[in-house]
Amino acid sequence: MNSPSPYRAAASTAAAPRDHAPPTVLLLLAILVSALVLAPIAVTVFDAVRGSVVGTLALLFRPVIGHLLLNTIGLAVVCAVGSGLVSLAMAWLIERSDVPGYSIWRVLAPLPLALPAFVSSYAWLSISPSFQGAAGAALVVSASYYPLVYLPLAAALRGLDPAQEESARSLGLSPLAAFCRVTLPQLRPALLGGTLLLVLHVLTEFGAFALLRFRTFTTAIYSAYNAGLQVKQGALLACVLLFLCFLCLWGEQRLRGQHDYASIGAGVRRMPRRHSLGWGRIPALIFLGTVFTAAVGVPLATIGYWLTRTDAAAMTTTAVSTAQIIRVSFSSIGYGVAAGILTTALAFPVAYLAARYHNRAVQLIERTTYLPKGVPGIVVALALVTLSLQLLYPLYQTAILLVLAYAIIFMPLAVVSIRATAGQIEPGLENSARALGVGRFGVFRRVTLPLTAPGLGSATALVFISVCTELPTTLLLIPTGAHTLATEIWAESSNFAFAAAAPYAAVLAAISMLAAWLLANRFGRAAVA
Amino acid sequence: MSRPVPQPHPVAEHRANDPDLSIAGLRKVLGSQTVLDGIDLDVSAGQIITVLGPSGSGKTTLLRLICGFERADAGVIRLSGRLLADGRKTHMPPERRGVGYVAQEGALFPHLDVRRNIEFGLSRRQRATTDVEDLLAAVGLPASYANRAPSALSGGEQQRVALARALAPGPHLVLLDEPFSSLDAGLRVETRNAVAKRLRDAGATAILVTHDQDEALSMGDKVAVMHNGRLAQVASPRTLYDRPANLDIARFIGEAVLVPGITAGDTVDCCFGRLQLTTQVPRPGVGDRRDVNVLIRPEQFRLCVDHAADNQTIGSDAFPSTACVEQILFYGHDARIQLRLRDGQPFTATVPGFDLPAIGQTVSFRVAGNVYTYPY
Repeated sequence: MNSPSPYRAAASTAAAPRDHAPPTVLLLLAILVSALVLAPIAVTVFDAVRGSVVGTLALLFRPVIGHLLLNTIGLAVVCAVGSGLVSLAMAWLIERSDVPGYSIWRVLAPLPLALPAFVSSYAWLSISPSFQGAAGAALVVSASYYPLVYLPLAAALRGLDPAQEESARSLGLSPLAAFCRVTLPQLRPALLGGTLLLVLHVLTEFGAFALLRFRTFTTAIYSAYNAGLQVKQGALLACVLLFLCFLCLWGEQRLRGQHDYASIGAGVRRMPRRHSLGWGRIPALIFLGTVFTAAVGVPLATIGYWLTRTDAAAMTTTAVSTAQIIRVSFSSIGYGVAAGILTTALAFPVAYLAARYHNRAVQLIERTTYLPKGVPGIVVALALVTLSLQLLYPLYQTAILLVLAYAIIFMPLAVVSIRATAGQIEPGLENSARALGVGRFGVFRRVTLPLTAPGLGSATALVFISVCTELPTTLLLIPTGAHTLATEIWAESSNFAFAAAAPYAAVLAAISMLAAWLLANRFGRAAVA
Repeated sequence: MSRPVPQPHPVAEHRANDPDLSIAGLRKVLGSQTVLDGIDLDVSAGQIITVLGPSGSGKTTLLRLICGFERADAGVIRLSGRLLADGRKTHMPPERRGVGYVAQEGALFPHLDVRRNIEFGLSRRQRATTDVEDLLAAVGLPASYANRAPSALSGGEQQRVALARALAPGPHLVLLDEPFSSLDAGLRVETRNAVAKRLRDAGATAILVTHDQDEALSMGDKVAVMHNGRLAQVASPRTLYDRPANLDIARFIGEAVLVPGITAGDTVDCCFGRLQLTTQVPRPGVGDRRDVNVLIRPEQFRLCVDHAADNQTIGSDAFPSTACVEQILFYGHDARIQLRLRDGQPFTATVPGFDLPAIGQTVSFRVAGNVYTYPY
């Protein structure tokens, strides 16, 4: 063997130039943002441990908490296993088989994410009260959240080099054995990561469980709040829930590093051959159709049915007028836009620093702003209620506090999407602009900002959708007398006034699906998940 | 690489009863395009055949049909007497064919370490008797690599492991799909040599697909030139280079200087004077004073670059012709020189890089070796 020439490796080892210290103003802003994000968690923990240790322990080790744990974890496991199997089958059928219309199924499969789980619950509940309880809750929540598992699985399956399966075949493995020994192990990170994300959503879900009368931590926290603001009890429940959530979040983040083995080489990859299903195409179609019907078809059809039932609207206490629907819609949109802009503005310093400067402090700040992913909205809301009651009374039940709560809860969404685009800007561009005689602020305005604009846009849009479909925080923090689409659906369907809830549900579904569609078209499928 | 090559490998056993690969009338249509249009190819045991062709010529499809990843539309593939494929009637699945496959970038399984990759196609019993370290040594890799992850290997090392993996179960035939195309130049030669040595040591019958001429000529016992889904010529590398079957192949393989000429016995007269014909194979038309195209390779021109004694050598017997130097492309080891005869005929000569004429200089030259002709 020849000794390798010392010149050969030289090009690849050149270290990326390290930037110097980040700008002070940006750093201060970012620290302020992370403090804001940490505040509700700190308040919750503080409220929970306040008072005597014995009292705290007594409150913690009650049968009711054991019952809640059993309920919550049991449901999470059922949903995880069910969604995992369904998603695996769907991903394989859509990406690797010749099931008829696979390119259409590709578009339809992630759609349930655009329909809030509590809207689906309302629809199923309106069909029959027998959907209340554990089984119904498991069905509805799995149908709403399975794309969290499906999407990473399908992406991982698409990313695998088909030559690997072919090599396994030529080494003597049957198609099934090749899938199990070569493909499946490589899908494991995606499968586990997606499942943990799904469990996290099950843990933080409130509206669906409340409507379907299934008691989990979130609904128990809400009850504690409603039963005369039992701060300590609520905070303790919240702490247990936070612990579970952070466990999931931690696991998911750990998996993310090894998310895909990717291909080792860098060359062209041929399109995988689709496996021929033969007579199996019919059951495959029925399977995909059933999942889609349960997740999207039934809820939308039910909303449509109740829209035509104007006479049944008498079941509600307040008359539903067109003017009322428009007013409520604009209220929702208003909150969505305000929160979208505020969150994006707050997220920018963090995301920009994280994309550009790789020191410990910046990393810590960035990580902090991801924490709200593991904080249920109802926990943030409860913390802000107690905080405002004790320290910031003028803010209590104002729109400002609600928008601030939204900003905290959806900060991770905004940081992630801005960071993604900011990370793509080559530092060389900014240096070139400086070399062309443009000042620091000029470079920011003329180079950095335009290049980050897509990220800012998708961040605002994502927060907008999430705010429109958010329920628990809105319920707790909305100013008296104000209404949003979500609170109206909640109020009407809690009173079994299904026809009265239908117009709001229709508008909400339309806004959410339209926004998701625009987002997916504009920023790619990945932006939605 | 002092360690002995591991034995025994089933490859050696098959050698005795002469496992031929024989392909007849193979056709493959994808959509409206005929990718393979009647391929006939025979490979005898222990031979390495390189399939050379431009991208899109169908060479990879040929490989995938032999592996069984694609179904043939017509034609028969036999390996050691077993029927692998017969039109649309018979299609043996890849796992039963006993055909080893080395993909373009190795396609190592990223979730398994090197040892597990190599053992992948072995049964539990075979695993107990197979020494992975020996297999690694046979492809020129240290035994310590067994526990490494594929991502920790360079591209060339990955290819060697992929070859070790493909050879481990002792396949009847090994197919390599452009295995070196993703490697950079230096690594490519090194890896190519290691792979060729391993294939020869194992006595493996192999087909290697490539679009790299150097690779095809240097590695193959035979080279099959593929063009538009057909095999244009199957021949030894020397024959292919010295006596291409037609003008297209002559231009495709290496560089060709083609000038008109008239045959005279076993010589041909052209603008470079009277040249000796390749006589090994009798060709119709030779000796008949026929108009022909004369094929000369650029390295056949020998230049006399004597800067001092310009005038004495010009026109001498040793260097009978003269031409004017128009352009020089210097590559270090050699150089390409654009020349022009006095009658205006341009041609290219490849000469060693250490002794070059000056641009504008008139040099004398001769044509070394024999030339080949094509009917005009």
